[in-house]
Amino acid sequence: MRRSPRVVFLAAALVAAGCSFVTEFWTFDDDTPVVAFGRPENYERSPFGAVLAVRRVPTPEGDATLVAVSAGPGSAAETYRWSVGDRLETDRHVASICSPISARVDERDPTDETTCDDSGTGAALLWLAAAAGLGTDPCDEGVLVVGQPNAGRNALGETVSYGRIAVYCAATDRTVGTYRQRSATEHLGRALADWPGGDRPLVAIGADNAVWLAPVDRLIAPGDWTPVWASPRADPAFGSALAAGRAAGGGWLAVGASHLVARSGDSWLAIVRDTNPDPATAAYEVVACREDAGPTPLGGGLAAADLDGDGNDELLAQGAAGILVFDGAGLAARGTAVATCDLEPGPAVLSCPADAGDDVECSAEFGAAIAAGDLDADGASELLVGDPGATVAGAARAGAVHVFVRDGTGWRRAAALRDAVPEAGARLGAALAVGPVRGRSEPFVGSPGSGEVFVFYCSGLPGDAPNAPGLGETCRPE
Amino acid sequence: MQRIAFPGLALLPLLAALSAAPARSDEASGGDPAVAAAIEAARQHAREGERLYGQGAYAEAAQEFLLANQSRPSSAFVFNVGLCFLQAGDGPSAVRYLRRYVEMEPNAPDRAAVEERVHEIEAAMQAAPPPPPDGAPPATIVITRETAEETRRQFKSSVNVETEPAGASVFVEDRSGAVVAQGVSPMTASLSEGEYVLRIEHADFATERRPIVVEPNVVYVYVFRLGQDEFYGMLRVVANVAGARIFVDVHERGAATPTPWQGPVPVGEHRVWVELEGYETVERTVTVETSRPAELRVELERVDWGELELLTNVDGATYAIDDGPGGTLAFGRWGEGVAGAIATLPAGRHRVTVTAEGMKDYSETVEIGRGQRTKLLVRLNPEPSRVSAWVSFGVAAALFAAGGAFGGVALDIHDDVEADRAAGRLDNNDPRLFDGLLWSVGADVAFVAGAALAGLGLYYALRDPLPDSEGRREEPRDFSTIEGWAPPGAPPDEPGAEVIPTLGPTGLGFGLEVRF
Repeated sequence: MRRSPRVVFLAAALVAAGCSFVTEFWTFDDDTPVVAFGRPENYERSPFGAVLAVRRVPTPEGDATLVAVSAGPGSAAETYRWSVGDRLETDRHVASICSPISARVDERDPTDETTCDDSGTGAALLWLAAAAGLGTDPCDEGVLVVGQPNAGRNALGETVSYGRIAVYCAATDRTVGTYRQRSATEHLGRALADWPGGDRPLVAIGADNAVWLAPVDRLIAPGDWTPVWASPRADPAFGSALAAGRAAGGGWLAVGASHLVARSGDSWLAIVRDTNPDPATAAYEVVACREDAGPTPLGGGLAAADLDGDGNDELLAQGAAGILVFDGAGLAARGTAVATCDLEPGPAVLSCPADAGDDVECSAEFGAAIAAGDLDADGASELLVGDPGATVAGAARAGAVHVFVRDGTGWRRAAALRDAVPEAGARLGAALAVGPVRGRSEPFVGSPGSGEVFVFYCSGLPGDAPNAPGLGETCRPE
Repeated sequence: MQRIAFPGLALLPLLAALSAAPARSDEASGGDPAVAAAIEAARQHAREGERLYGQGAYAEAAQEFLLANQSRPSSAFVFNVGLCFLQAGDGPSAVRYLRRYVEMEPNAPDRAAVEERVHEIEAAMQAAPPPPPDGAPPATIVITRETAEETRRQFKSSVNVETEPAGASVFVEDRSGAVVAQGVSPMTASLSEGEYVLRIEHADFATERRPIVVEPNVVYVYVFRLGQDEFYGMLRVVANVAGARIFVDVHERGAATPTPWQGPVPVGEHRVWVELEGYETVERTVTVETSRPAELRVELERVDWGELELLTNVDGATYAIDDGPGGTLAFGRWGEGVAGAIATLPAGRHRVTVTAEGMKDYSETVEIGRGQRTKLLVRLNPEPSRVSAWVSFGVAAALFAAGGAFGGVALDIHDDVEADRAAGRLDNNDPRLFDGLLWSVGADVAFVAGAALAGLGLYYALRDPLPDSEGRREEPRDFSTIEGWAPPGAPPDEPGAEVIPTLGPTGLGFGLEVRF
């Protein structure tokens, strides 16, 4: 009996220790270097995280970082406000565009009874910082453009359009309008890009065999859009991937056709520029192109970033050898429509090393998503290359994101973003975005296989690692 | 051995032995000077006769014995004269005096032997040749072949027995108890060398027996002053405790009488024991005189120890005294279903603890009185079952073990998670966080449940719905009031019967003590 107090004391100590663990485990999710958030409740569609869009927009409270996530065509676009000013709100859910899935798309188009599900909502997402002139409602705190490439059938099953975009105003939390293009092009809205170059900011909207260029203030003003048609050799794959870069002379628009000549396996990459020397009018044409044969798509993943600091964004494109880097200045020099494809990438090719480290084995999908951003706040952009097919720690197609840093004239893989507990088929890295969060660039990585989006506050770079100068254990913005 | 404390008749002999050694004849003859002178003269002649005999002057020695006989007639002197003539070779004289002896002692045990000897002497004389006619000296006749010393050893002694008053019957017994001489005092007996017993009987006085040793040719005088009884005095013995037993002169069981007691005892010193169960025995010496009664006051003090009679209901139960060794309580003489033992303890307070397997202990402090027996009756009640407690403790231990295991798993997960967090790759949706939470919660639940069960076990261990063992103490009893009480170490009574002489104020008696 005399041992009973010892037993009680021991039990209490163990409980205390256990409680400590409980507390730690309980609070870990608020104190992790990686924040993962999954689809909201009632979101039954997978793969959530297949499409990502992150943008910083000015608000009266300060700059806000807005995040939009979808699972690709046929899924609602979920919007989140990650931070506002100095306040971190993380995955604060704001709205679900076209949710529930069965809701009508737009009551203003009674003839279109296509449901969100059927309309292909979420195929592409694009945040715009401001969209003045959209109807009567001011919406200058961020606009989300949602591609609905399958919209356009009425109650009779007749095709009344070939795709559509919906415009959502974050400030008013409502869809301010839709636009559909009655033309020969189908699947309008399967890709979106913000083309800030030129006299008027444009939104490039991908469709089958065409890219429509819409002024931001005329997104829901039919008749003001300009089409860019593919060459006769192109096929409906043209317009499935877009990337716009800032460069002298109005910038450039890269259009991917990763499955050019459908089912042939060849791919085609085109550069679109304004070929009209008259600044008053524009004539957008393909000024450069490259055609690759073989099973590896060219331009399946596209991104634009000024890697050399000359003010011209380079084009980063997925290719058979890795990530092809096309010099932005060279692209800006193109001003005439081309008859032959002679576009050549620069000497720097970012390839997946045989021994990537971190238990990551590269796959053919290396480069399926590409993004750039200054993760470690050293003033130079790093490149993030998604490989959703990578095998991580033995987990097939768990996916990973490789972080490349400038190494002299080339690039060196410096780190990998991966799930601590890789899940086979998670396909992490299928979508990538870099968004500002309280002054630092943070990578948002889609993991559609697991239906999650990961935010890696710690990229693993020396300046972006736990306990790096200015960072705490979790690299989370303080 | 029982003592006859007061013989019915007391003998107060006044003895004066007159032998070859000088003696006062006036004392030996009751103060009659003539008798004393006669005895003294006889003694002197007898001694002279023996001296002459030793020198070979046998005829002269015979003359001295004849003078002694004249002074104090005695068949012993006559017999000795015969022997002197025998050694002198004077057969006719020897025959004459020996026959004279037989005439004087017709009942003498050696009469036949003496007569046989006379015949032998006469036969020797008849066989002798006739005396020569020419006046020549006659031939020597051999009438005895004994040496002078051998003959001297056959001298008889004169044993004179006088009594006051006279007229007592005197019996002389040899070693075999046979009466070799008898008469009425005063009397004289002729005795050969040897050991004898004088027995004096008188109808009005106590019989006296006196062993004597007789040497050859000695004049003995024994004077007995006969008495009717001993002298008595009164003795009173008083003790401070009623019922104490008194022993006078013989301290043996059965010879006691309770105090206070008063009664006659012979005058003189007496040893007195006073005792009582539970008290120290007191031994005193008291002198009793005839002139005034003697009183002996005795203060009995209790012994400095007592007894504890411990009874319980469990055979084989053990007891401890003052946390020291005690003994075992067993069924037996305490009745059916009662186990008991008696412990001898120093007087004072003692802590008594009774234990038995599966029963609750019982302890009590008992005051042991001096010379008293204290009875403590203890009912041991069973202890409650501790199975539930042990089961609870067992399950609690299992839960603690499980908690430890769960905690270990949680710790491993925690380490992994920490490593990944340090590497910057831990996400908030990491399934290990939930797993770790579950394991740690599970560990806590196990610990809490274990602690709860340990507490429950403790409760079960401490819970006791059964009554405690109980005890009852009876009033102490003095040893003297306990029937059959015997002191520690006393030999057990043996079955049998014994005739015990008892002493009472009215005299001697006998009691029959039967033991089973």
